[in-house]
Amino acid sequence: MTAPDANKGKGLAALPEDVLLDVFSRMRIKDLFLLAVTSKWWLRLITDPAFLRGLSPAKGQCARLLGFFFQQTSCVRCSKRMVNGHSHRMQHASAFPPTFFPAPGGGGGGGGGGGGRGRGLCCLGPRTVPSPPSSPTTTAPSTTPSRWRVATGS
Amino acid sequence: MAAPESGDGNNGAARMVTLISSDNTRFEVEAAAASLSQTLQLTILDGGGGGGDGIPLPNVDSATLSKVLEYCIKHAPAAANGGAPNATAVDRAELERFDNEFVNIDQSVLYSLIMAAHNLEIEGLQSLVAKKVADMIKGKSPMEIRRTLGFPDPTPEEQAEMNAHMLEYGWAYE
Repeated sequence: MTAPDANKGKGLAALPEDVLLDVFSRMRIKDLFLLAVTSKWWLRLITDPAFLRGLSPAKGQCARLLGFFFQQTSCVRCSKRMVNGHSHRMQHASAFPPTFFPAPGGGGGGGGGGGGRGRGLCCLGPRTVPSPPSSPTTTAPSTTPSRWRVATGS
Repeated sequence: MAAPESGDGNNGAARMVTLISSDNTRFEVEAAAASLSQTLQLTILDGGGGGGDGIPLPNVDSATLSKVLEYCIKHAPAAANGGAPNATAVDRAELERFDNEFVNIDQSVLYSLIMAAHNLEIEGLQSLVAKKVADMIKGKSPMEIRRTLGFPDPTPEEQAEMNAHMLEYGWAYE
């Protein structure tokens, strides 16, 4: 237990871990990510797997991270070199379809993509990824290839 | 349940207990209100806190404790009804209005409150304050979050990193 004065001036960062988890679990995922951007200390805390496990679902709730799409990229470089000037996206998408990896407790079935209902987050992988019809996600716009998009269901 | 010691829990006058803050201020409250704290509830069921000897709370100062008790007194009747399944919509709206105003306070007080709620295991209060803190961050940019949470101004290096990140990945948060 912390003495009350120990918290003065340190604010949120001085709160014990389980209280922070309580606060974080009430934040929108986007806001959590933005908080992680504010300083390295927060980034380390928020991206620490052991800490994040605490955000796992309790009492039958769905985890807010449903899973993510992953697309094999090892061959993209080859195709870039081989096919000069061609659209990477087409090369890429046709070579390897994206695979959905459900997060533990995310409520998403294997390959099904997302829990279908409820709040959640899907990280969409590189390029244009076809969104499964039931998935609470948005697809990455074609203007932002080869990046990750934070998409939340609601 | 009446306390074994005083036995007056059900006889008209509500049983009172005394809580002593870290700066030695004594607060006398109804046992039902103090029992919103899981920690205190056990002590009170054991018959503690009555009469001359209060329950010392070395982790909570008087300013924070008076806020905590304000919450407990307001929420005690609803809690006594087992989460108030038969509460009227008016009662619920009134509690909600109270809650909204209750957390409309300075940040440092919010942090003291959430610590106290955590230490005293007052679930409702902890989630109320946690939600408030989460809402303070909602929809803000990293720089605004820093200011809201009272972080020190970023070093030029940190600022540059933050700008670079938002330039590169800002689209992901839209």
